[in-house]
Amino acid sequence: MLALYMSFIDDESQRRLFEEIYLYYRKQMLLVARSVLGSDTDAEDVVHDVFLKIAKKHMSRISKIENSIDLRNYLLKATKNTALDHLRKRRHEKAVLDTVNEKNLKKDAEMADAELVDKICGGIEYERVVTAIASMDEIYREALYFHFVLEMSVPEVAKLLDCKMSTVKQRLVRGKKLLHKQLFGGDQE
Amino acid sequence: MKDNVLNAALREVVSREFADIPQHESEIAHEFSDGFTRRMDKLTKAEKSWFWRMTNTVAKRVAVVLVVLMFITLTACSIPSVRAAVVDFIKETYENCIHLFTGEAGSKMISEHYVLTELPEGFTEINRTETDPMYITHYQNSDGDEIVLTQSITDQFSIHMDNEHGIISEINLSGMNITIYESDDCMVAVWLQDQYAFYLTVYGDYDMDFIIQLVGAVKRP
Repeated sequence: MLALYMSFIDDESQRRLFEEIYLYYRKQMLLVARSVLGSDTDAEDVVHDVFLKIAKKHMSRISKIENSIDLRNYLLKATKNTALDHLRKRRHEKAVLDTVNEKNLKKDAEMADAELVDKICGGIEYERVVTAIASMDEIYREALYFHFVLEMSVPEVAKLLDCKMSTVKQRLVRGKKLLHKQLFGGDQE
Repeated sequence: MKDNVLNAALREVVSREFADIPQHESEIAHEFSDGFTRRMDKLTKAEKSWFWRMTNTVAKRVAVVLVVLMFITLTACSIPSVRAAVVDFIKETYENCIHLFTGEAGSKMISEHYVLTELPEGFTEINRTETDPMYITHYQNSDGDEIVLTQSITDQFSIHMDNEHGIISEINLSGMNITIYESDDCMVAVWLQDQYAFYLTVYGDYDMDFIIQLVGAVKRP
């Protein structure tokens, strides 16, 4: 049965990359999972789950990540989110994280990426941008990171985070709005 | 996207979150359990199956599917009691799309119409259109979300699915292989059922479960 998982990776170079990632990042991923779950056994289960998910769905995305810092962030973020999912299930918590009004979102979704990037790059100091991002809620920050830095589509982020596409869209819209507000003092027009 | 101030800042802040995680294996004192090591060894060192070796390139995949189809067709021809031609999709995978198509052995007319026998809450049927090779039923709700069900003959059926701007996956539902395309704006399911090809398009914010339920509801009324 497990041989089947590797059959999801149908490219030899991706299979090699998978093995390299496993050997290099498994312990780092374990530490992240353990910091959330507090147990080595549960953390190992999470690391295993993450690698299964990667083998099944995410190798083509991972193979496009060229920056090693981004690769590490991607893997550790995926681990942290999977560990949090395990924790939620264990506590029978509802995984409802957003209370953003759906109707307002359609209007807000117009916020253009290029316009926001141009505005930020057009004269805001780097340290101010870092401070603004650091002050944001993590769910918005990670949505922006996957979207802008890793150039992942909404369905790809939804699959990675195991949530609905509408949730990812909400987080992106809200994240961009929050960032704009922090840097420019008002909503993006 | 070119690296810019925003990307650099996002990268820095996200990296800070993991700054206290050592970056080298040797700095982390942990012995993985035997169970974990066994599971991961199987995962990383699994021998490729004969099927994987035969189908690990696009050309090989197409060839294998063609050989399988030829075998099925020849077998069907040699058994007189099999009256309906056995039809399956031929799948070609390209860099930016997949192409699903059938040959000339499928159904040549639609003799029974299929619709959604159970509609999701809020949706109503607004239109039916029939052409020679297709029967299309259109549903909509008050938010403007749409469901379009297309039933097609399988004689020379062909559909391309873009995999640059969405994700393509396959599931098995009650023995039927369903190919599902998901993008920001819509989802499309394509499958073969009772000698017909179907594709179901959903416009709006819905998840995989939604479209799977719809596929299960496609029947003769």
